[in-house]
Amino acid sequence: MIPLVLISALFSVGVAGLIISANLLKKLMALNIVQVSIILLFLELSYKKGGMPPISDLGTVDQIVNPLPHALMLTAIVVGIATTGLGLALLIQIQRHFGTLDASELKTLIRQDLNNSGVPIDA
Amino acid sequence: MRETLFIWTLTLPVFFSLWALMSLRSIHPIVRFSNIIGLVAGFTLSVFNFINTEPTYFINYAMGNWEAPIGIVLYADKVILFLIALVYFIALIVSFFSYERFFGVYASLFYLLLAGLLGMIATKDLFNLYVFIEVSALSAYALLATGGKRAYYAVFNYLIMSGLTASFYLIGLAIVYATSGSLNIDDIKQFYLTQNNPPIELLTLSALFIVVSLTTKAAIFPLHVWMPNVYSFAPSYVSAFIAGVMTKVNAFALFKVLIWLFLPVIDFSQIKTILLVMASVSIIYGAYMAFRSYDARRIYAFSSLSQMGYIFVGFSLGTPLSIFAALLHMAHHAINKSMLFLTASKIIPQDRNQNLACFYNLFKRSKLLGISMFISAISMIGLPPFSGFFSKLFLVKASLYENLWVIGFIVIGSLLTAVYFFRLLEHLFSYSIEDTQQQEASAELIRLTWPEKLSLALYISVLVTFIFLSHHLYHALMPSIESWGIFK
Repeated sequence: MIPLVLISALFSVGVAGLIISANLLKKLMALNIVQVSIILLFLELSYKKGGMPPISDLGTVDQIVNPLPHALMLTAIVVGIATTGLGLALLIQIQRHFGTLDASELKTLIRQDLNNSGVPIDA
Repeated sequence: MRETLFIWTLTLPVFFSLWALMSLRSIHPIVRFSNIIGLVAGFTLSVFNFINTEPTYFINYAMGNWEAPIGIVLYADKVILFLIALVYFIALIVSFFSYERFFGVYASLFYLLLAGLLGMIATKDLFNLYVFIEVSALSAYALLATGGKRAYYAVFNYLIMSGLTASFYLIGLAIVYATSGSLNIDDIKQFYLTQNNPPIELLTLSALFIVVSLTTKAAIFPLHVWMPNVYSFAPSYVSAFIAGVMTKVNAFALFKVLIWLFLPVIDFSQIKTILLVMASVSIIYGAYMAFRSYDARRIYAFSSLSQMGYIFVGFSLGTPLSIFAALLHMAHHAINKSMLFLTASKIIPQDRNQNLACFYNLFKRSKLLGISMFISAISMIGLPPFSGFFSKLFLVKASLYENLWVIGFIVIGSLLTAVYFFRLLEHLFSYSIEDTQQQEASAELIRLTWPEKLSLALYISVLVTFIFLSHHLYHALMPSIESWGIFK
């Protein structure tokens, strides 16, 4: 029960950080926190008190930890790494072209850029 | 034999994505052509598979001979074979239009995106679906970000929203896996149906998480916010493929999970109401925002939002005829929206003046592009004998007896669509230009190369035979759809 409460607290911290922070890099880090909380959720589901690793002669089926959620979460970790890598590459390019990583400043800068090049702005 | 061909259509893009990277340095025209031969081969295989199977055909293919629940099962029936052929067709059209760029990293990412989308259509394992969703999403981020400096922030927003909702999908998956112990859709359904007391509230919660996740990726109101910026600022040929196919395949994945897994188990009336409300508001809101936009690609983006609303209404109504109407509308919108974006890719320069004045004098500059854009716009509005009429006709027929309010939304949506598309077409026929820069730009002829003419020929031939296609598809797809059960 308590680990699930802690996992939801971590998820809430991540989502709150995503909404509140103005810096894009902090948003990316908050997304990482959300992904870590999901990984911990799956690991919590497969927890077994006094469980043994899944090697055949270490115990019966009831004593051995289910390895499938761990394998699924390896995939999820890799997906998270790829997303973070791509996000960082995008942030490098944003910093290089606009000079700032602040969300509200970027909004005004992009709006100015669109105005200067004649693209019509709608609502 | 047919299952081998089916697996080949799914795995060919992966091999060719590696080949495109390996042949990066070569400028020999035959090597360049070999980059695109994967799409041609895949398209012919998928069409051959679709035509040569009987309407009650289905196949459960266990990957590596590991049967469920241990292994991953790929499933194909006529609907899925049809969607695979449709995705290959759109990929063929888009790649022929961007033929001089189709090598190296762009081609490799394109093939990976294609592989992700095809896997999403064909899989029957929930975590495999997540993996393919993320494969296609990551390739899409990289492809869309090549659009210059305005694209970076838009794609970053898309990345954050899409990454967050992928985590929501995993929460839904965690609930289903924890209560049932398996990841295969058939096994989970069997487990819940043979159980005395299935945990219905937990499963409804899981379904809601999955609905939120996949409707964000399918860009439905109110979760569509990433879409207009991404489609406007990305390169037009990339937007053609993403707008044409990706949101639709995500919508199909959502309804695959809902209809096959959750429908027999939980009570659906509230989720159905939520989906119908979101879809109907999408129709009107997309048309209204397109009416208010003055940038051509933003008009197309909001038009995509509106048409995705039609598709969602078709899927959510749940009768087999409405699901068929939704599938037909997917085909119609994919073909026409891709062609609209592709003609825009020849006309609108990426970083300069992008307003509607770019379209002045189009018939003098290139007759083929003018005709194809005119036909696409007329077809999107829904005038016969082009494709929009038939898909909306089927949608009206499906909602004729019980859900008459859908017809009201279809009519209002079509009228608003006509308003903004006619405003766009008005510029095709007008010749008065004030700005000197636009005067020079609108006098130069657009020369179409042979791949672009080939893809225009494919597009027009499919479009004018759409009445026969829709008749044939009705008889080919209805038995499979009826075997899915009614989504009420």
